[in-house]
Amino acid sequence: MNSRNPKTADDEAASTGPSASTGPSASTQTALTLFVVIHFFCVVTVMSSNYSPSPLQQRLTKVFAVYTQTFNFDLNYTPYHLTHATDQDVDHALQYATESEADGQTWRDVSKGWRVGERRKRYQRLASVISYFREDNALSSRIGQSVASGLANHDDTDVTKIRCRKHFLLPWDRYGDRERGDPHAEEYFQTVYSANVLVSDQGKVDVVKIEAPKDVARPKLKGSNSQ
Amino acid sequence: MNVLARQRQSWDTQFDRGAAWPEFWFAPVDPTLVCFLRAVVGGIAFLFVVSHTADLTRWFGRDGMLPISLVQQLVGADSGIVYRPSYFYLSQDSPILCVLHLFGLAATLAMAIGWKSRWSTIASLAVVLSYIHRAPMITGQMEPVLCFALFYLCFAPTGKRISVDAWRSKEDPTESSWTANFALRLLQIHVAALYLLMATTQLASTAWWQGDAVWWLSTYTESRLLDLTGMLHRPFVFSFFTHLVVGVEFAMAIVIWLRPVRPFLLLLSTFVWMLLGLLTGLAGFALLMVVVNLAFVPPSVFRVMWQGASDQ
Repeated sequence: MNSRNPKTADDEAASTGPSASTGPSASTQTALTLFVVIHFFCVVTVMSSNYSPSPLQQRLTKVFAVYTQTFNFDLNYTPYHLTHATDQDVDHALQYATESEADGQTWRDVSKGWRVGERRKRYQRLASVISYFREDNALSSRIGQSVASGLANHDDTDVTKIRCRKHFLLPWDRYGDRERGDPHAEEYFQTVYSANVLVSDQGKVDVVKIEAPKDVARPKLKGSNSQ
Repeated sequence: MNVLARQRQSWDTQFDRGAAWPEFWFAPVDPTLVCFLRAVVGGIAFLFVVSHTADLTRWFGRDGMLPISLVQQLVGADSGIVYRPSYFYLSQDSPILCVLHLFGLAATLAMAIGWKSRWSTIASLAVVLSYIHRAPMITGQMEPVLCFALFYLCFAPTGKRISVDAWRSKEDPTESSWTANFALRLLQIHVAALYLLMATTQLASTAWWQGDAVWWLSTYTESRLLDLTGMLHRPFVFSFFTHLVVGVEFAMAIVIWLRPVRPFLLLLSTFVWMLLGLLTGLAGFALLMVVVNLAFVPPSVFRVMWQGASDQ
């Protein structure tokens, strides 16, 4: 490495006025160069592991975790692709029913906040976490119990049921269809988790998963990317 | 061709002298740009902390939706070591949570206004990381970008301009700084790598290859801010925007290093992020990407622009 000091501002700094200071000493440059190389090796490794990592990438991601996880450089499967238009890439919603509404069909969204804000998005992400773990009865019930507990204890609601629903995307060829072109039609929703909520006299909240929720089968639609 | 030839000549000259590396990383530049980035990123960090205010105990409190034991289970702390330090693990009691939250608000506000800039930037990074690590499963695309932007700004002299520090200081505000350049270069490379990741993972699906992805984005009825489904019978529009998004992302990773095309590319990228922000509802993420793109504006040009804007 060439370790001489850059004495002048580069052409990006240009000659528009700031009085130039000198660069770092040769030993500082060497240390920083080492930092840059190691830092970006770690960062690029964990970034490239964000989507479908190889066994080697998974191993390296674990090795670098002490640095990359601490500073949140590890993207941790964050969907930076925005959508792949699959059944997993859909909106999720957490909903609850209260005491007087349990026998009816009135459900309320757990999410709060503006549509544009991060606050609302956090509830949608929690709903997709429940959907992701829906096959794991113990874990999905644990999350459901926490959600119900949050509603009962912090919102002071008489929550009796909770559910998580997926909202499937409406493919291109359905949008023009008068009969089946409504994206909010019930056939485009699927309940992936639902549970009865039990609150004891001591205020302890528990949930009992409803094993056979009123699932609506994913409609077989021409043109959708079901993967 | 002329542009490429000149760029290559410039590179050849620098490599011949063996000076390209130190000049790229350590040449002093005007600090106005990093100071501006500190103010804006600090403002976004402040809003990020504010967005937790109403739900603080609902998420993190005792009997809340994400108690510590559940989070530990979800991140795999039961089965292995995880490195997710957060001061919110100290307590789940409401009064303590409120005190910690107030500290977060104060630190990020201090960073935004430029009070004790270096320390408030470091504190803001610790604050934002604490919120993220307390509940990583409810974070999205914005948080990692916010973290690396804060991390790199910790290296820079961000209090020299546009700050309370500068207003109170008697130092020469026009002095250029190599640490400002170092921080900007780190930010540029990380941003370019992120664009490359986005473009390559998008092309892992047929939706982006076939030009349908923007259509699919506009069908997310719970997320979208802009409904483009009325343009159903104009498929070319959706294909054009889909290919534009991928093309701009690749260009921001690779072509952005050619200085003559930078202004055009930055404008195009800003347009793409406005579109994506409206389509996905990820307004904070889109705004932050526009902000970190500013790292590619030459510091001298930004200084002239800033002075021009200030004079008016």
